[in-house]
Amino acid sequence: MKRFLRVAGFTLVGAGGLIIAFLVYQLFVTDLINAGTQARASDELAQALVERRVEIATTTTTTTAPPDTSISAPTSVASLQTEPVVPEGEPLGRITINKIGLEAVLFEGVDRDTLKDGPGHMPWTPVPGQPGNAVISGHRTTYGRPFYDLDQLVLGDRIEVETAIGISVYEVKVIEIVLPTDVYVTEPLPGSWLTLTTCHPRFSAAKRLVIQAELVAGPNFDYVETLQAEPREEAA
Amino acid sequence: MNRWLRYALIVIGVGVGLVALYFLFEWAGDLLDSGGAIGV
Repeated sequence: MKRFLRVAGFTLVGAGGLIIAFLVYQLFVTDLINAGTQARASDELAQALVERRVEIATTTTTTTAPPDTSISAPTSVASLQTEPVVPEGEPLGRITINKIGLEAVLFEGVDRDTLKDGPGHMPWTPVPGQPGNAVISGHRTTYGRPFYDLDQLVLGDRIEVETAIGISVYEVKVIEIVLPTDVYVTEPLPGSWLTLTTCHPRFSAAKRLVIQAELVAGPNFDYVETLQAEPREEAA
Repeated sequence: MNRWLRYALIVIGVGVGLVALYFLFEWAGDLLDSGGAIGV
């Protein structure tokens, strides 16, 4: 009996130690790892944005994630400013939400490793600032927890995303909780939208908190407005 | 058992344990926060 109690005691202490080590790793160590990555990425981004802006200025044939092809091109003067292609895992831009004190380097890609570095842009959706629905995902409670306070946003709050073409400003229009399989929130939308997704509730990956915001200012705002003002061509 | 062999086995055991612990923490971490992506 005495031996059993001793073994049980050691087992419980060991399990407790393991759980504490797990929580320390997830809630603190991953933040430290992410802080170092974000600091390095911030410098890389500054340099990359300069190079991409030079590329934009010197070429007229640059293409990137195409805008929603279901929308017909406008015939009036506003022109679409496109982004150079950014490889997956590389810094794409910077996301700022003053309301929740967020300023983070945004990466291209939503694979496991990229999201450890910071918020990631879904490569198969338009880049923020372009027409359509740009989707960005980010950690809620680990790896720098960029979207920890995303639930504090209310309708009308502003979200800024800086990319090579400039700063695009979005206004929150939709807030919802969905399942991780509800891919409809990533589907194209008319106009220019930004969709942010993160785990919900905090400390659980059971659901997703989704914030959808519409472009209200930025380099392509006039172009998007023109798109929406012009009647769509009907199929012949 | 040779003393050096025993030390080597302890070092290997600790190494394997730490690697296993890392993967266990990563797997369990996904239950806590998987990154927030949808449909991937």
